[in-house]
Amino acid sequence: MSALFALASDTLTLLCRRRLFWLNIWLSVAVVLAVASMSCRPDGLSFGFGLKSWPSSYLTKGSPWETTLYFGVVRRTAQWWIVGAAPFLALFSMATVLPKTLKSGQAALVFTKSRGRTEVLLGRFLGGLLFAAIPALISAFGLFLTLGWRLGVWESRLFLAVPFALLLFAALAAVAVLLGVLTKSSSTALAVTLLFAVSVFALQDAASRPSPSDDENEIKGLMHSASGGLVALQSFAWPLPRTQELMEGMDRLLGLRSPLLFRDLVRRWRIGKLRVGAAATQVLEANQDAPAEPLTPLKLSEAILVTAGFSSLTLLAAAMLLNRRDL
Amino acid sequence: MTRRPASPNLPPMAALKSIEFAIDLKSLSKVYPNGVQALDHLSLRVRRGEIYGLLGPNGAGKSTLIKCLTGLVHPTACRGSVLGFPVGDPEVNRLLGYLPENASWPEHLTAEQVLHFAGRLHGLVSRERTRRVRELLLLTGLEAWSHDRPQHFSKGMRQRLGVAYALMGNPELIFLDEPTDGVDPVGRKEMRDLIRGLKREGKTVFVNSHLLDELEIICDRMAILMRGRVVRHGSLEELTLESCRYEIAVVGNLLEDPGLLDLVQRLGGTVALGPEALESRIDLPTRRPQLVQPVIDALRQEGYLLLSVAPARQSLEDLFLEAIRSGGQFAQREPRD
Repeated sequence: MSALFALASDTLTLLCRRRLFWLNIWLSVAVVLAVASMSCRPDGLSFGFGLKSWPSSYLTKGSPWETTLYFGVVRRTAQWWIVGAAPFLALFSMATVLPKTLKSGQAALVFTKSRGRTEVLLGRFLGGLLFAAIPALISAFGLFLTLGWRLGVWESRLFLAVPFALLLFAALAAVAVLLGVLTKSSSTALAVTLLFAVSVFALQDAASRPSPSDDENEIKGLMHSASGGLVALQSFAWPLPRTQELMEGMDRLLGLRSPLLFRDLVRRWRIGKLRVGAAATQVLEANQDAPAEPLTPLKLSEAILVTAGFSSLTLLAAAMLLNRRDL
Repeated sequence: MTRRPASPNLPPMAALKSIEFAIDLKSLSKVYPNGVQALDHLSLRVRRGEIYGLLGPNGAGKSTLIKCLTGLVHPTACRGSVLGFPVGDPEVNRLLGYLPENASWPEHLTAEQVLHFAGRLHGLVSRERTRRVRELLLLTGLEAWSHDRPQHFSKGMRQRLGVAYALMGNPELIFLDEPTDGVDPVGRKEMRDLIRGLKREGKTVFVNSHLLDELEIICDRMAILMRGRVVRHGSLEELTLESCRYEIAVVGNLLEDPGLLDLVQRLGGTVALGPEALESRIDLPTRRPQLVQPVIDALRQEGYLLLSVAPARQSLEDLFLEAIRSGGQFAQREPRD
């Protein structure tokens, strides 16, 4: 066990010495500061801790829209930054770790001191997870403080974003580890993992759209083939990491619900006489086919289990491959 | 016969006492996926507590052999054991130390941290680890550079760090791949002393080197590897004794003496004339003085003046070059004690 932790902590130290780590940390701090710099005043909204302000009659200090604004921004920051972008950045560093360990000069040092190759693989993987957890924790803690400071809402459920981020990161990192073992090439492992990640996000987004009903399709033949295609797509996407469902599930678990809708707040956004918000929401709504099916706790549990299972099986495949190959 | 320690959970020394051979290979083969046969039914026995040297030209399979024994490469077929464990069993790793030829040191760790890392992989507790790290830094003369990163080290310093890394965890069997490569003469002397010190502690040291004089000095026994097979093995004395010859120098031209010439030729020897045909040299390919005696008797009987009778041994270098020249055509020798 101590060897496993030694490998994990060595991986963490190695990754934390890289510039990308600091980029990730500073970006996390910048994102949190950007959110924290927003404030509602009696005469409207201000950004950059008062550097820039927009007068508003409704988005004022103490108004119900203030809560809507903060909750909406924090929820999207958790989704897009903590669970979305930050793990992607961490992946850039993580994908290079195992291929470097497998280079003969280093493999001879590490593998001859450990009691098994699987231990090395798991240690490196665990170190990568810890590495990805740092920016996620910093961001979650920053958002927690921001909400408490601005609204007096101390919502500890914000930290639930961290396990969700790690769950998604683990799936991608497992793919990177498998590719690293397979190719021993950092660049190939990274490039193919990124391609895989983008494909999975796109695939799960497409698969999460509801099946067209009879009413929505005027041509029955087209409906039938479209419906059949979707079923095939959903079947194909089923064992893959459930990106959409996890994002949505995390959003629900955060519990940041306000009586007014964030979408309505955006719709009201104007720059001068230009109704920017209304135009933006119209475009977004036009591109949305139909409301997605509600995410039940059972469905969320399934998504978590499938994603964790995907990571475990991918790691198992990587371990089996590593144990069979010459170093 | 070697036998596996009763249980991997036993203290290593208690279990190891029953093992005679640290390495006991009856047949080890390795064919790489590209079809290259690196090791070909190789047999080898290394006694516990000896310093064993491995010689061979580039591509002979030396590195593959060490990698097979340390579990880095999977043999295609293998009958044999390392410290009583089957070859490739990761359990044996806690009893092994390995200095690879081109160690790539982690860029993010100092020399001291590298050793701590090795200690943690071995499962040493903090106090024991710290003590051992200090000991090894002192032993390898790196204590003044303990806080520097290895990539700033000279080749010799990196080798010394490699030895310290290999010795972390107090291994029973230590593989040293080119340990004196890049090390200055003073450093080589220190390295030799260090290896001898390990032998005194009862450790088995397996050295792979192309520096024949180094091996001659420190090794108890050695093997010459060619095309994945052991073509010669034994102690330096045994190896050179195999090629021992007797040289007899006499005054006179023996080529003009058919009786003596016939006797020498019957014993497989040759006669050569010295300068101005005043002196002859008889070369007898034997290591047994009894076989030389009839020639000496005959020479005396014929009244020749004997100048010298001396055994002439091949140097390790000659032996090695002969093995290379013959292109590994020697029959593989069966391991013997």
